[in-house]
Amino acid sequence: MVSIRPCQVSDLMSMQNANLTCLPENYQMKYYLYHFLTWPQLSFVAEDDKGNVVGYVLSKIDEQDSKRGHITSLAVLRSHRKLGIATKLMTQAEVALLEVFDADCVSLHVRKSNRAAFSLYHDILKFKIDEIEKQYYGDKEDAYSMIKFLKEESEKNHEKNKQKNKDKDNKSNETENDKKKTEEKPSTSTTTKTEQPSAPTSKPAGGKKKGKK
Amino acid sequence: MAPTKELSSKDQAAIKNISKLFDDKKYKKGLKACDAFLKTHPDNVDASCFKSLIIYNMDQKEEAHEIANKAIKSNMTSSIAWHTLGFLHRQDKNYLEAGKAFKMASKNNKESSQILRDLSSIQLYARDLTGLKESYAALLKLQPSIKSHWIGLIITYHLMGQQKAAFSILEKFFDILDDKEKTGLRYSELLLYKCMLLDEMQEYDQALNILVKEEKIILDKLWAKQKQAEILMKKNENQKAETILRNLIKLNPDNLNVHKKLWESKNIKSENLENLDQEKINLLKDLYKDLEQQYPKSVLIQKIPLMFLQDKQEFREHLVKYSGKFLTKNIPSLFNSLKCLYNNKDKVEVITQVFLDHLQSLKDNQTLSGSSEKESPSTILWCYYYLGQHYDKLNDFKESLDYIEQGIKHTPTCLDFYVIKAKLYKHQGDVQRAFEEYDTARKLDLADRYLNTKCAKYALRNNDPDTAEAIFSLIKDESQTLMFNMSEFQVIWYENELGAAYLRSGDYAKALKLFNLVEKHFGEFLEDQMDFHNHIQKKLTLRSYIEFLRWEDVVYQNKPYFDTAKFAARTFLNIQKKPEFVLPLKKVPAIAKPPAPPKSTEPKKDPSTGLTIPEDDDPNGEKYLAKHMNDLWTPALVFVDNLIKFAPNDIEGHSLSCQINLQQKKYLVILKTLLKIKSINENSPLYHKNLMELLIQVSKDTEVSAIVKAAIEKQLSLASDTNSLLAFNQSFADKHKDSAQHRFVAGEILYKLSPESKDKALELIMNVNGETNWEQCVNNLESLSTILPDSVKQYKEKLHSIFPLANAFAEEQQN
Repeated sequence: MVSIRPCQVSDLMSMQNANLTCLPENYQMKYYLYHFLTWPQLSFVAEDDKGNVVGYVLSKIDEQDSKRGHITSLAVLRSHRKLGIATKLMTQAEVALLEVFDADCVSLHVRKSNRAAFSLYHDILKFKIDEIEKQYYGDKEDAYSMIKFLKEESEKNHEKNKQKNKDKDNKSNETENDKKKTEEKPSTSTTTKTEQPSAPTSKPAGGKKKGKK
Repeated sequence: MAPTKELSSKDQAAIKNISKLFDDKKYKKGLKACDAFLKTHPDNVDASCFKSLIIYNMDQKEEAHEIANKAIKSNMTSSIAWHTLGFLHRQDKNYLEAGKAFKMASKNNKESSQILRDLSSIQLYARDLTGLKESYAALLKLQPSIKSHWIGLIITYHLMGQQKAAFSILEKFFDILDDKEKTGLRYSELLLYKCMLLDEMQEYDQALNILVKEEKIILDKLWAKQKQAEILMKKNENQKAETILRNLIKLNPDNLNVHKKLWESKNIKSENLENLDQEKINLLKDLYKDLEQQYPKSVLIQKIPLMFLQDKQEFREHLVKYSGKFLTKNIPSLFNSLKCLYNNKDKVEVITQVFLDHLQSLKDNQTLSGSSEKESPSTILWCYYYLGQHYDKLNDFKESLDYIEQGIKHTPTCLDFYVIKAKLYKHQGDVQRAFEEYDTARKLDLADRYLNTKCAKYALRNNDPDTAEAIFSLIKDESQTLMFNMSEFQVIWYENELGAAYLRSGDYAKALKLFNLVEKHFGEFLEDQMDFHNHIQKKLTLRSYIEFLRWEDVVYQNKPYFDTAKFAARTFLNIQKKPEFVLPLKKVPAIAKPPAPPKSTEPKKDPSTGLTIPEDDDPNGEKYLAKHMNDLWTPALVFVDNLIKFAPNDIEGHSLSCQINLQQKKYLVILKTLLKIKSINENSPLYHKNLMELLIQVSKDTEVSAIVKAAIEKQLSLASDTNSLLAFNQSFADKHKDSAQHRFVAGEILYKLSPESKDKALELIMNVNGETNWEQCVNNLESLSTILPDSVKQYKEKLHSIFPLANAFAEEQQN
């Protein structure tokens, strides 16, 4: 039987293993620890009778927008498909985002070619395509940036802002292409510094990299 | 670093300039400036330290250390010089020395908070909690308004188990927070941390008081409610707890932990769930009937009655319903969800019957047993799928294969059947066929990462690293080598499996290379502790922080590490014992390796940091092995000591420890370990083996002191003369005459004690009747090849007749 429960620190190593087994986007342990220590309320696991992690959702708050939740990674082992585990995990994460962080919305990235994941997010979990991020992944594949609103009024605001930005863009003809998302990009530095030597990284984030399926 | 005071303003400016160049990473210019300055001021500590740091960053590490040490020698009380030396050691990951240097730096400059901070992060890493407490106390004195110092001291006391002291500082910390800080998530986290502390102090009323009074402010309600229920139960207020637990089930009906608590609130322990009296069973029956109606979508709630029901008829009825749902919806994990019931014979009997009934009914009327609804044609497929796994679990290979073949015949494209077929062959020891079947599954959906990963694992089990790499290269970042990706993303399972393949094939250098890589990852997990303190003081997620630090204390307690440690210990022992029986690697990969990327002359860069990746100067582990050939046991004991410390009830770990210590003649250490094994299971064949081997060696060792010998004999109540040992071994063999593994050990020992009894020993060894498995027998073969190499062929033939499918015992290794 599969139990769905909040993630504990002792789950992280199994989560990392499940991620490596199922997904091409992988992270160092430190990045899992960073999630656990920053947003301990937002990640959940599914475990089988033996205590093996068979699915997980790893989520966070956007570092630039404290009202925007983001699903860093979601995976369910193939052997445990069709049980609705992904939906249950996502539901837990969404409730926590709303309850603990009062988040307006939750976003995620999905590969354009990943039809199965897309239909889960779109048809079952009711995410919508917000925009297409060109060459988002390491192998240059495009990503759908998908979004789901957790409150009604935030959806309207979001549409308004988007329209405004578009108008602005059209007027000034400015492209905002270099506003590329950096949040999931690696940021480890190993240089010695004399002035603040104890803090090589003020915001510890393990290296992440995107590979190819 | 502030420039030294005695310098002229011009010189001060020069030092400042150097400092800036260093910060901007303009090392070449910085070095020039340092050298120029040192020409006129050869003894200037600041310039020497900058020079040391700069050339360290230019990869001249030894020289950097020399300069720093020289600066200290010329001025033993210079905190800057000590601080610099500390940096160098820290960068070298020599944390012990770094801690010492920072401590000296701090001693010579008590006013520097920066030094204390550097010192504290090392002290936390090294769990020098007394030192850490002093550092934070000093920091707090210097900078009483800085929050991270408060947090540091609180956490330190908490880690020391002094919750009361932690609590009283936490109270003072609350006092310095202004009103603005007493809202929001951070404050909510602080309150919950306070509850955690109070709970650990067994101050239940105070903890409950916070949870109730501050309910509106507390944001992580899931945790708070669960904690509230737990505390109420500790206070025996089970009814109140039950109300909360039922609300928690409403939020998430699938959390087993909440269900367990709910049973507990009704005085039912979860470990007794399958052996309850009728009264309790009835109670749960009503409860779960009720819950099932409220939460019809929860698979967990439907499953739990299968655990506690004992009446065969009731169990059957529930199982028919439960399994029907899975079959109709074609959910593949049905077997996985029922596997836990197989230690109950009665239930297995019912399960067999129910699925055979389903099958018959589907064949006859296309309905499930006890139902009149027509099923889709795919339902029968999943019934075959179940039965295949069912009979495999019951160790009936023929029957299980038969059902899987029927499934494949029904729908040849359903790849799940090939996955199970691979498992069946794996269980029989036909790792070659297992890989081939899995590869068939993989090829039916090449885009599925899960299938690729698992297939690579099957290739490794088949001693075929080239094929595994070919599969893996389909799913990794192709711009980097396999080893880089393994190491970068801490792919421990792959390192373990690849290392194990090398171990089996006798390539011990490569095997150790892999196991050391796993060890390195655990070192990285430990180092991760040093980077989070500043982060935590911003987020105030102290509950998680404590849990994280406690997890770090037992980080080696993770199963992958146990595997690594056992493999590594066996590798070191094999280097010494040189078993003749090995399973060679496949020479021709089953899948063509992709062409290697063109070698560029440019050094490879880490895509995440942009730093150059140093070339691996020991890709096959040969240099490492050569270096340790004269002292295999020091590195071996690092693994084994962690193993027995963190898996104290694992007999295999203790046994490996005995064997390694036997190589070093550490008899008293072995004695202690033996007593531990005895307390776990004195009937274990490993106990007998190690006991006898110790006594045999002690009796032969002319240098062993009489006192040690007497102590060992006394503690083990066994004299070490050959006749006593022979008698003891015989009685062991008699006592366990039905167990193949016990006989094997007795036979080996008999031969060691008395080579003239070879025939009798072989008789014991060659009798493989009784419960055993092919993997155990592979280990036996390896062991036998170091003791009785002439008999390996005969034993192998014997094993082949018992395990006809196992590749390891086949005549010729296929390649």
